[in-house]
Amino acid sequence: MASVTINFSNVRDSLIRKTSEAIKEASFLRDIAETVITNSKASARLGKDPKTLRDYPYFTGENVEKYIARRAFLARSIVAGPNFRSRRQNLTITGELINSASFKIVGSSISFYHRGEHRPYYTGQKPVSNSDLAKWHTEGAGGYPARRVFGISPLTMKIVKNKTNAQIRRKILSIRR
Amino acid sequence: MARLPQNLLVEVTEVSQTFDLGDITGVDLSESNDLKNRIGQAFIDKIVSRSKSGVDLYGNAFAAYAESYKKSDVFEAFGKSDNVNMTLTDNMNSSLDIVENSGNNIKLGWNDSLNNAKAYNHMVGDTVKKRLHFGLRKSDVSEVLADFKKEIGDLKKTQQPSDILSSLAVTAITGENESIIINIGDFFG
Repeated sequence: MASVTINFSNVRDSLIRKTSEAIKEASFLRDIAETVITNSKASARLGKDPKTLRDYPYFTGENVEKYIARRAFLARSIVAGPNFRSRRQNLTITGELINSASFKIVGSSISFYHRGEHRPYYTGQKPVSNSDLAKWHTEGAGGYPARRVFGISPLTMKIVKNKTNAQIRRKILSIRR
Repeated sequence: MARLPQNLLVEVTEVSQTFDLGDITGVDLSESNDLKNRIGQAFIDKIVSRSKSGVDLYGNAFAAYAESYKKSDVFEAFGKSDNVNMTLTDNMNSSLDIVENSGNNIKLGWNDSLNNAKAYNHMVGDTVKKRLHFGLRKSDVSEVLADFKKEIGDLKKTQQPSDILSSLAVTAITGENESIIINIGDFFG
């Protein structure tokens, strides 16, 4: 009998192609990105580390009251951002830093970053990029406790996985027989 | 208020809706798990997109948010508006799943008790305003299934034994001029 080969490589190729197409779909990636950004911003505004969902560390020391008074003053003199409370440690005075979290979609990847410069709080203050400001806060520079500005929590990861499973179910199972 | 669809279960331990796709389509889908999964996902998409547009099971606008909720930290932190869309973190909507796929049935619901409790709470208006966010009516089901008409139709064709078998006449050539015709339909009397 002549040799007969059944080649499954086209099945593999088809699955890879379908998966690749499914996870590149712009509306799907945008939905994932917006979910991540919304949940991260909300956590920070509520005074929680967006990655761990633990409360940000409280300021301690003799300058705390002075610091709170300064926050209150700045908020009055500018426009206070969402969830601003002078005594709440939620990285919010104007809210610009948290709001600067953005995303960029390239192929099937979503990159998150902080866009733009942070508006100076007073005349003569040197502008700083939101990206640098986020890095300083995350590292805890300037004597302040470290507070992560952006992150993906286990809950958000679960939501991302659920949405990805749904997308695969929608697209991958439609391979024609 | 119209009655909930009969196949919709709203209990504290389980909020779900079961669809007998064999009964609905008149086609046996018990061996077509892929198709059932895709139909199930399309049902879920229909429910979630309807909720996100602020409309309930019966096409009515969801009850407005309570004033106390609108003044809450959470409402502000998530940048919510007066648009009632059953979405905060998106945990409940994204967790809605096909919790059972057996025979001709698919069941939609939640596998985890937290999201099931949230879904229940909204459906009955326990500690929040009542919002019938979950479930599909017959007309919704028909609308979704219209997108699968061709596949279901193709499947139906393969499930009509008499038509198929009568057209399947197998001819075996045994020698130059002699032929034996085996009509498979004969075997099924």
